[in-house]
Amino acid sequence: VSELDNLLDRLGAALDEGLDEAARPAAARARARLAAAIAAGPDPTATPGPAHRATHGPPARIRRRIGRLRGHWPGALATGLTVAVAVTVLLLALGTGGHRSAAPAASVPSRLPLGSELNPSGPTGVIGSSVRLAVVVPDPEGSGPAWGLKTYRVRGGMTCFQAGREQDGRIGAVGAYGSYGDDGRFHPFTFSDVGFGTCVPSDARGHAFDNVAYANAPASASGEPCRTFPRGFPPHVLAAFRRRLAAQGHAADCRTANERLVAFGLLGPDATSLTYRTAHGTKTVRPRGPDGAYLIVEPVDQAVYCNNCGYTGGGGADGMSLPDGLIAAITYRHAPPCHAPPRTHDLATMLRYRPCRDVGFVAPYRPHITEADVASPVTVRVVSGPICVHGGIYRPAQLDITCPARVPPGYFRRRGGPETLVYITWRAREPVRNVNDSTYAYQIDNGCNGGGQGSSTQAVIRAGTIVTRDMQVFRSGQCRAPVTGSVVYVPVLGPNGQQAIAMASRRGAPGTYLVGRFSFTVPR
Amino acid sequence: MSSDSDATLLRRSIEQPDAFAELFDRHFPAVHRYLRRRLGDELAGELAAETFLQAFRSRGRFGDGSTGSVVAWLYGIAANLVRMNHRAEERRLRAYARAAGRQPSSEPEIAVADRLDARALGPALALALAELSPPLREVLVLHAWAELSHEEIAAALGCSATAVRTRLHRARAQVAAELGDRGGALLTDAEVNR
Repeated sequence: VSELDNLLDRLGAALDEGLDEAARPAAARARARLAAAIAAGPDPTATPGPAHRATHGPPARIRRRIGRLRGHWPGALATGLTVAVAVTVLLLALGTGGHRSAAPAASVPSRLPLGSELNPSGPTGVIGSSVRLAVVVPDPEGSGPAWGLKTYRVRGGMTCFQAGREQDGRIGAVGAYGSYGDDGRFHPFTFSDVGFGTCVPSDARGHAFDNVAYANAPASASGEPCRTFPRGFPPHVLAAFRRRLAAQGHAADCRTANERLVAFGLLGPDATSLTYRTAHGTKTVRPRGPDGAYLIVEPVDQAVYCNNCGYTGGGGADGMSLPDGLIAAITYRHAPPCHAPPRTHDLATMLRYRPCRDVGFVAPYRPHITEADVASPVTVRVVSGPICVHGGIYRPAQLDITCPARVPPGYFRRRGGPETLVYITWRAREPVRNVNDSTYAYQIDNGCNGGGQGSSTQAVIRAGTIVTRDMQVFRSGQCRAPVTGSVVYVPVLGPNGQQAIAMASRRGAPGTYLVGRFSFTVPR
Repeated sequence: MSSDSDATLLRRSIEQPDAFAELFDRHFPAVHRYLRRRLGDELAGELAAETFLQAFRSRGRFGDGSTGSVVAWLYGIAANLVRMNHRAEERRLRAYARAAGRQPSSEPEIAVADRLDARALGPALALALAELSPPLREVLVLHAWAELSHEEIAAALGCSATAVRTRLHRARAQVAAELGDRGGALLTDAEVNR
């Protein structure tokens, strides 16, 4: 088993977020369909093998089967129906589902918005006064409602922005181009559903910086998967399967005519113009609002080179992520203009090029402290044996353990890899008020071949808290040298929350403050 | 639940369709979880239901006296359905990478830090998976997430175990290459740990 498998395990566990809530209704629906299939008798599309004698029983027997299938899950079905009715009533009461409504009011998302998992232990909720419909542009084909970009702040220091079709001040998707069964209605997004957008940490002045682009966004703005056979069914597709697929109206028809190039972002308060390329030249738009918001919606045209399209922002401590084939230039009030990278192989030209930066970004938290302010004894406890790790969403404060005889609920046994775990404990003398602008980082050097690993606390921490984190020790069985490590306090941050985790703290990395060092030997 | 094997239950279900309910109970959670990881809630629910519907309707094709794994057969049906939705899967992986907020960086000092922090590689790994061709991604996730053996994957996909090994090797190499220096370091670490 390679380390890659272990990483895939962790990725799978992260993608399992909310699995329990999703599994029950899915199982109930599947069981109902299976029960209906059994009740329908032999399927004309099935091609039984030699073992199939097609001896389906009399109706009474079928009824018993249905009874058994339904009898297994009456609670789930009843719960599903109750929830469906309740949701319908609630939606009607709230005036959603395509009805006209007033400007959106403050709301608390039912779950964390995308991106705010960066701050799982912080408060969440949309700050109502921050909700702003920043940009509205017409559809380039003149089809359906305009497109809009909405921004709003979320408690915990995040700014979210959602893009899509705009109607009555709301952002959503339209039931057209194959989406939502072509029902012709407007389907508004909730605050938790940022559509094509995302959430990023705000800077010290409350502004956010990010850029997003999609070269082939569904014209409905639904972000739904494509229809399986947009150009019609091939002859080999069975009739029953065609009917089922056709009934799945919840799928976009992804022909080029039904797609748009959609790019949007927040350039900051100092941006004054943005120029982008089209198939016929360039266009210039003026960023709007305090965040410098822009929204581009154009027909899909292969002539437009869009590097990074289909890839969302991120950025870095001092860089800016741009769909650089699309964006040609940005101008600022008090800074030189920024240009897209030159499309050349000439080395001298490339070296002269200076990448765009997030002009106006102010790091949100940079306290004037010394290492004496954060220094603390660091203790470690080393345990060996098969390791049990948490399933579900990754929570930094949930410690992995050595597996007892019976794997505890919520854990799973780690396959292969190291069987040594170290718990690192220290006193956090300096608080972490917001995980998006400071953190404690801890790292180990495995003592051989320069290898090691590290992580960060990624949680809000009160001053004086005793903090414990775990780390699995990866190293060769032949390595006998002691493992050394350190804990550092890192108040460094760049736009979009990317933290420069100071793994080089042994030599005193700039912008980091040493809490303490430790060492231990790995049991044989 | 009975102690009958999956194959026994499946064959019995040809004449006693209610026996299929037990197969459903045994394997729906795992198949649903697998599909959900790949395609998200909505499609996973739909395709997991479709997987068992297709399995139920074609249970006679599993073959008399077949010694193949019913689990592999179910995942094979699921794989066919996923294949028709590979764009949805790629969008989901990219959305995950975006939400996790840490994109791979070309800056050397950050690359080193990320290499050392395996947890930070999740978004980069999701992007690397999205970049894989559907057949390579299929083999990799059937191995890693469905935990099928080479032989079971071969049965699920209708190819030889040798072909599975070859694809798995290519998929790993391509993911490592996508992860850049960090991926290479991971493979090196894995070698060290052997």
